Amino acid sequence: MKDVLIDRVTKIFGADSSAPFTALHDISLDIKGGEFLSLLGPSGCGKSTLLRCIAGLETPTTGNVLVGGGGARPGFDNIGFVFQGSNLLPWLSVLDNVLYPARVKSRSTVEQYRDRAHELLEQVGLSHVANQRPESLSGGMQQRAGIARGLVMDPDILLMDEPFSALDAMTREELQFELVRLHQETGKTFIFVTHAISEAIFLSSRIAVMEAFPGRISQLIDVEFEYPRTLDLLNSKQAIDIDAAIRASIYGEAKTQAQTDR
Amino acid sequence: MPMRPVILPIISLAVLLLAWELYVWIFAVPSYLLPAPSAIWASGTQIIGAVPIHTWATLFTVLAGFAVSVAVAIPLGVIISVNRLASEAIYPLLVFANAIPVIAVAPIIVVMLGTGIEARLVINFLVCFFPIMVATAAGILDTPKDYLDLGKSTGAGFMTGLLTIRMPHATPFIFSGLKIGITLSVIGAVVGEFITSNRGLGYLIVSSTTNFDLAQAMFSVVVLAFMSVILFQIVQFAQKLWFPWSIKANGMG
Ligand SMILES: Nc1ncnc2c1ncn2[C@@H]1O[C@H](COP(=O)(O)OP(=O)(O)OP(=O)(O)O)[C@@H](O)[C@H]1O
Ligand SMILES: [Mg+2]
Repeated sequence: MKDVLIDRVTKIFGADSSAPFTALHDISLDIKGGEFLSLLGPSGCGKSTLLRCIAGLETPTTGNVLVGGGGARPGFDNIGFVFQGSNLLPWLSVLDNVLYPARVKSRSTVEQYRDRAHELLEQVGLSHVANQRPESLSGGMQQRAGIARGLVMDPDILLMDEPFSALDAMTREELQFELVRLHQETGKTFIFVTHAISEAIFLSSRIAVMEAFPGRISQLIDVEFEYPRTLDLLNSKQAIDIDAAIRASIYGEAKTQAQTDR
Repeated sequence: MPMRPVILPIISLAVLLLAWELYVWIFAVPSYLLPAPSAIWASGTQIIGAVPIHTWATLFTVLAGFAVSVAVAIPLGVIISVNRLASEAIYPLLVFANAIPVIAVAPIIVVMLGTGIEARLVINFLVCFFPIMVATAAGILDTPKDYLDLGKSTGAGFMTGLLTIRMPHATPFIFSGLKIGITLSVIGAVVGEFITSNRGLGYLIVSSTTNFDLAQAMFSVVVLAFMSVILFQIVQFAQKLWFPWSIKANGMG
């Protein structure tokens, strides 16, 4: 499994313009192979930007992202990306959507990965809709298809940008369980963006808490629960402590006080 | 299939024709001013032998002109939408070319190119390429950023991205352009025939009106209208057949 090394990454949008904006400031982070890392923080703190730098969708203004010793390039075979909206292409069937990364390589690659795509659809419970168009699927099913697409080329690293944020609470919990199971089964490195604290605690082996203006990592928290996990772990003393530490880091001490009083 | 959407317009048409017929009868309007529907029909049956030749001549211009326009307009639409330099260099010229009333330049084109099919194709092209090109460019430019990011994150190069993401996304737009284009192509063909031709429905209209044979002219107009509607439906059908997903995407299709 590949490590991801984020080395003093700064991202300034509109660097040559009259109003440059520092979205990420001097971020360094070493992500070990097989880790489930969550990037957690308030809106606008640069979570997506950092993830996009890892995916090669943005280029850091200064600093480097190294994946398994090499620089991350767009379409780097080792990276799968799951979008916030499922971002399925409406003109392709669910199966063809899952196979899209293979289609980009070449038409013959598609045939090579067909069995693999079916297998993944089976794993996420979508075999019965493989030939339907995405529009006929529920939001949860679409997001599952998006995850299957992220995994189809068997990447070492799966990047997810708030993949569950548009889902209802029940579907969300269901998919959280599935995601943990996929992580255990595949042993891949998962990097997961969220602004839900309990979601981050339930899923991750480590949480990078971020702050805005400028975007930076304020705290790194190890979450040492054994996998497979159950939801009651969120009621444990340890989880409550982590929750409090994260809130303190994000809102500052005063706010935390007010929230515990409530 | 529900019959109502078919039957209702037929009934209104019948009522309209009947009113027209009665009006001509009651007020004894001379046929060189307004022929009754029955007179138009009678005149049509008189020239029915010549109609296929003229219809075919017009149809050929319509289809050939449309084909040329599509072949030029779609690639041009792609180029101006993906290349800033090309867009800045040629788009203003295209807007200008489109702004010229074609009926004004048609005589000039005939002098330059002669009275053959070439002149009529150029006239036709000038009328119908622009909406197809603009629709193509609009569709390409409308591609959501998330789709482009998907392409990028999977390593799609420019061509792959164009073929697997931008063009499919632009398809419903392109078809909107094609539907406008095919209708304009009929207009372009008739304009061409007005200016220079000894065949075609446009020619038939001109020659009938010079003889004050309004019934015959109107019959030609009816044939033209049918041609236009049928061609439009064929484009619509092609879209349904080959790109069914693109129909719902923008309501009217
Ligand atoms: N392409 C861009 N051009 C200019 N500014 C940008 C661009 N992308 C992001 N930003 C800015 O950078 C900051 C961080 O954005 P980012 O999308 O990474 O935040 P985020 O943490 O993912 O927020 P959210 O939780 O709302 O998704 C924001 O203030 C945003 O306005
Ligand atoms: Mg974001």
